[in-house]
Amino acid sequence: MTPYHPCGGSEIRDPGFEVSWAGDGPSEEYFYFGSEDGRLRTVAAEGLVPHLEFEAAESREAINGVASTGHYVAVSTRSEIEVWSHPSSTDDKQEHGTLDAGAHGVVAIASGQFVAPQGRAGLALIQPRPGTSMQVHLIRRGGGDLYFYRVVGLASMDFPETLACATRRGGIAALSVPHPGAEQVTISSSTFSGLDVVDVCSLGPRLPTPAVCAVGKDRTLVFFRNVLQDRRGVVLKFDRVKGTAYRLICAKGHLLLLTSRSLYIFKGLTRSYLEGQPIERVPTLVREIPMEAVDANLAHDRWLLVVTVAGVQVFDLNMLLGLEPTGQKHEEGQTFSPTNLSPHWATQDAEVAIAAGT
Amino acid sequence: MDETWLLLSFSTRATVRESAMSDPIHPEQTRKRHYSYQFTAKHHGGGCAEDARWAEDLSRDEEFSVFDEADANDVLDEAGRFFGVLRDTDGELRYLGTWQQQVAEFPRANGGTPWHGYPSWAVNDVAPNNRSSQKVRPARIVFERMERAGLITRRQRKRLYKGDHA
Repeated sequence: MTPYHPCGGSEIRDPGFEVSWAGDGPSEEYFYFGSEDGRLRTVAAEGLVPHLEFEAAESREAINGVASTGHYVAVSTRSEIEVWSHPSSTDDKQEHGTLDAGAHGVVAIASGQFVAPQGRAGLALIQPRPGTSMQVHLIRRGGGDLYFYRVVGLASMDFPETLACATRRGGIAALSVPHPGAEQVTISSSTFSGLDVVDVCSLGPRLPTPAVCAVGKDRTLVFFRNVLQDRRGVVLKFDRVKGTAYRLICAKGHLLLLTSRSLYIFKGLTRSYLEGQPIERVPTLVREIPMEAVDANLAHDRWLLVVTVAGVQVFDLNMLLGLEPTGQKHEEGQTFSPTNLSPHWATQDAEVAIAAGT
Repeated sequence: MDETWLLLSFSTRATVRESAMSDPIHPEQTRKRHYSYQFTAKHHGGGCAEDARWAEDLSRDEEFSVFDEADANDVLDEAGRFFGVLRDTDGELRYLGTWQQQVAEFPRANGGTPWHGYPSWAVNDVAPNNRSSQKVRPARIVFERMERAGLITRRQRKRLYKGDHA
């Protein structure tokens, strides 16, 4: 562990473990770190001490996604998706299953499945089952016109569990999580000329509707109050935000955008949107933290883990968002005015078949 | 799924042969190995919908420069395929293909025949990958050679290597 960061962060560097992914661990006491050569390591949140480690990706490719549900952890690389039972210091036997097709990442959803975006190949829904082979469902819209790049699960109060997807030039796509045994599902998508959606995030837990924000590679932000039903979103862009958009994260009513240049914190932006304020027309307080980052994820709703070119920067979310004092003086941020965009939307609904396998 | 991918590979090779006669060749050769380069119709809109296609805002000189830099910096894998990128004035990687690819692949040409290439990574037609289709995935050494040559930054290398846009 190394130096103190003015935003309440610490940095971990280990030349023998080049990190490609960092985020939620098997329990609140741990993080998972994935390496560029396919290893998965648990790291204690307290003290940032490495704990257990195993070769999670047989291909030894860089881990680009890790997700946990129940007793299982799924690991994705560009070559495969592997599902393991969580490592244990008292039992070195781990259950294991492999899907021989790569993904851009993997997430766990409330119904206990793993979901992996596989580019033009579609979405893979994986149901881990103790002692038996994994059940896999593949969802792909005909023609492969959607490029499934990122996915997020949305558990809202008044709608069925929903998947929202960043599908690059295909825009934002949404579907209800298929019921067991379902043979088809409807995928709806919305986009406009020039939009290249690279990430999408939920606007919060326990909302009445599946609300999301998506980001284009050029940092265009698109908000949907109900991604299952809305056919056009609120579109805005902050000209003072620079770089190529990498990740978009919503935390405690704030929006965090990681670009190739900086981490931007849009204070209260998602809260304002959900309260019905015209966020596309009013200035927002934005805090910029310059960094050369590769990826970022929340962990246990308490930490922000940023993979940098050197290691992993661990931020206490409350300190980062200014909810708790850091003991250091730092800028609260600057006021950025948005540009409101009114693009011509193109939308499409399509029934697609679900292919099952094991 | 594997069977489908094998069929696509077979179809691709057949199309290249048919279009080879009408593919223009760049007037210059590469600086280091003096390779000729041809612009195949297949990867400029003349192929089928599944064929990777160079971006329309990319000039032919720019396309050639991607290959030339790959040759000049020895950015090739063990199979002799070259891989290239193109940075904009801000140092960010440009899109090379119509599917937002940022890396181009130049498969090894038979002796004496011109080289050709197509956009292939990190987003591509069959990406991220399938083990039965290794040829669509640049090897790790390719990204390391790009970084050493200064064609990409460490950050961009780490992004591309795991299948993310840079």
